[in-house]
Amino acid sequence: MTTDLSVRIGDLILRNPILTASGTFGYASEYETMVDFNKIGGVITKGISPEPRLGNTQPRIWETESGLINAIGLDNVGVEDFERSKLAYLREIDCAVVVNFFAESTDGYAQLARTLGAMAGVDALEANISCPNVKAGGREFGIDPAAAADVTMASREATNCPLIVKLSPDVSNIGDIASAVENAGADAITVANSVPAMAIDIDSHQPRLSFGRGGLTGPAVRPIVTRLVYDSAQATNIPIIASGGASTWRDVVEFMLAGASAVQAGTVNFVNPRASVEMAEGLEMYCQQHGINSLNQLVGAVDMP
Amino acid sequence: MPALSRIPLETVEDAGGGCLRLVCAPASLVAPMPGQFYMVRGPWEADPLLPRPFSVARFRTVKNEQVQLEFLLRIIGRGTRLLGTARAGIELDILGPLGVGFEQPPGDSAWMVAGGIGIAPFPALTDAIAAPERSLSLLIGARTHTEIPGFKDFEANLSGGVEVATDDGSAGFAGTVVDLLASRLDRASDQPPSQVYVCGPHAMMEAAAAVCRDAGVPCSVSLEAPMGCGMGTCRGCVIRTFRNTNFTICTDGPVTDANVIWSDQNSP
Repeated sequence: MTTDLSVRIGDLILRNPILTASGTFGYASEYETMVDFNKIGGVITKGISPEPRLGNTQPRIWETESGLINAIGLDNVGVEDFERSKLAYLREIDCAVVVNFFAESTDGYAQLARTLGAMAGVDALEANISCPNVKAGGREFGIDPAAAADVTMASREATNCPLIVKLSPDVSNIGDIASAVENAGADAITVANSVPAMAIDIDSHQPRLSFGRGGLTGPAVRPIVTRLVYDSAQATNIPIIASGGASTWRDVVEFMLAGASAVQAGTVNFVNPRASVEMAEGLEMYCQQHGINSLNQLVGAVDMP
Repeated sequence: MPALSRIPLETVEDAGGGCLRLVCAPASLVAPMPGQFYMVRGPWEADPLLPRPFSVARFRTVKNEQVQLEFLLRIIGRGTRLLGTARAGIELDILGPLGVGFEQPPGDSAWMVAGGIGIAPFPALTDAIAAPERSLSLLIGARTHTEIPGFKDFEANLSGGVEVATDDGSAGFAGTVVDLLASRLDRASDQPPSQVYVCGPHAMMEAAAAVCRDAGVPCSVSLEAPMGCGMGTCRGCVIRTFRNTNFTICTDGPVTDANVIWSDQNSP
């Protein structure tokens, strides 16, 4: 028996539900020798902004129990250099290419969505409205349903490219945001970005990161994100893409039971660069062993009390 | 190109000065360049989460073209404690070789300057650049004599000698290893080394680079920062140069000419 692992995001069909998360996989070429791209659904690039950004100063990362706090500050090459030096490689790889992007204004999102969406080789866009690690641009669009809807609608009107919107976990009711983004025209929702966090050096009294605050990722956040995925799935009818601590195929299955149609491998790429392929292979084996011939049998199948 | 390998840990030895030497079992690997590094992780679940970066301390090609890697470490946190107290036979996930290593010195004499565990890449560098006509020296500093890592295993190739510096004067030169470097460069002003290699804390490397610049001697440094991936993707180890550009330690470095990072105050 073969299992149909394919997932539809707008007009885009992924061969399987495993994607690499933005900011954990560079621009894909870095992992050329280690990852068989034709065994995963797709890659999501580092977040692209209208202009190049240097990001924050050192220190930018700090490991905590089963997690990683980062405040990179959206260090990226900018859209011009992305097109000039990164896109050619991405066009050649045999999986979907999703470009994560962000800007400092609604117009900025729309312009960038238009530019990126028109590039040959870009299969979908992921609008980041949730980065906790910059002073302007990102998160303020992700914590208010009306602002999230505005950015989504502006981006939607700018391009026909499948549009994913990446939400913040740091909201009181993610269902409201998810619903607003769905109604504004998003094809799918990524739940979620890193969880706002802090760590402090008790000897120096200084925060561990130069930015002070950061965002927590890795296995430590997975149960939090599982609940957010569940609530988002309850509030919407578009695909939910889980992002937050998935490290093995078991985590993929759990996220799907909570309501995710696809799952991103993020921080685990640093732990094991081949993790995304192993997650896809493990999911297929699980489906075969359990007689699952369509992922629809799994998505949202949690038996809640 | 880097590869991900699972290799048994063969031995963990005391390397002196509170440092440990991890010797891996021989494996089918590409030989690294001295100064390159590996991301190393033990067989634990999610905590500690990330692999840890270690410069290759030494490597040798053994039978059947297999390569045996050695790492030096000092226990500074949970990751290094688990690795340093690991039992022989556990399997390590080793990603590498990564980054840019040391280049050959341009002339017949080179000095290596280490701050404590900064000695780590120098046995491999010594193996790679030792030559009958070449004079190699090691300057090694620490706070006190009990923190000076061992160097006996590669001392035979240090034809220019070894000098120790301790901040508290408990062994060798009383002062920092940068003070020792300055004094030695002063004495050797008629015959300066063709290259100085420095590895240690960033403040120490910056000071050593300034001393070398004043003496007109090329200085290459091996940089360090918290690292997530070793592949340039997490952007965790990125530092800002004096030109306000980014330098990604894991892929642009870890070894680089010091003038790439720190300003010559006389330049524009």
